[in-house]
Amino acid sequence: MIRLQGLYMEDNISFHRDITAKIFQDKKQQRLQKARLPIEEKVRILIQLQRIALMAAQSRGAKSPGFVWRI
Amino acid sequence: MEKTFNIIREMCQENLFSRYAVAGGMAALFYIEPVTTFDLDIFILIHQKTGSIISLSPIYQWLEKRGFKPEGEQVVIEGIPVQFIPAYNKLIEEAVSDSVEKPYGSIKIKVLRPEDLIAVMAQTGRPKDRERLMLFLEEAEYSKERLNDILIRHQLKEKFDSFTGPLYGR
Repeated sequence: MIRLQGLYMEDNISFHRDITAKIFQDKKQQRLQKARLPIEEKVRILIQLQRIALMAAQSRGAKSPGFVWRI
Repeated sequence: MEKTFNIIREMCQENLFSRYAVAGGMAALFYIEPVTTFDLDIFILIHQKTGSIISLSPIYQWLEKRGFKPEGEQVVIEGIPVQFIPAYNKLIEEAVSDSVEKPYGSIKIKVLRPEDLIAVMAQTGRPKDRERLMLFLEEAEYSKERLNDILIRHQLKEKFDSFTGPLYGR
């Protein structure tokens, strides 16, 4: 019984390791896809990032790092 | 954003600087995933007499005549804060001279090459630069040979390896 339990635990660890590796691989693929977007699309995303960064700075009471580009 | 780039191209055509290239976070945007940046850095080459101090006054005066007023070190041009940075060492001079034309909308603009951007980030070495440098190594398409050549010629190989060594097992 103990041996069977040990085997079950090893399978679980291996299963979780495979899932984790797949998650990291998928995340890497997503980042590579973002890197290959057209520049105009990346600028649109940049504007969103600027808004988020400013909101985060405001909520922390930190100095504003700049302003959202008016384009 | 095209309007901003058109102003910069016009400034180059009117010889306020002999060459320009988009640098910093905006240049990185051409090669890696979007990263937050709040200004548009433009490296410029200015003709000057040897030993004389570089003045950006002609640039600011030209921009002011067109209604673009300086705010500190930046000038807001068509809604984007632009920082003009005269090339301050051989690496930057070379990087601007070797810059490539990239399309943006209906126009073309000069942008630093990825290898030069990596070298500049290695040279500057701020935490923000190190972070972006790692993104470049993981995501950008670049020439390892060209990068190696630039790092060696500008004595940056050791510094670069110290940033990347622990992660790449060097």
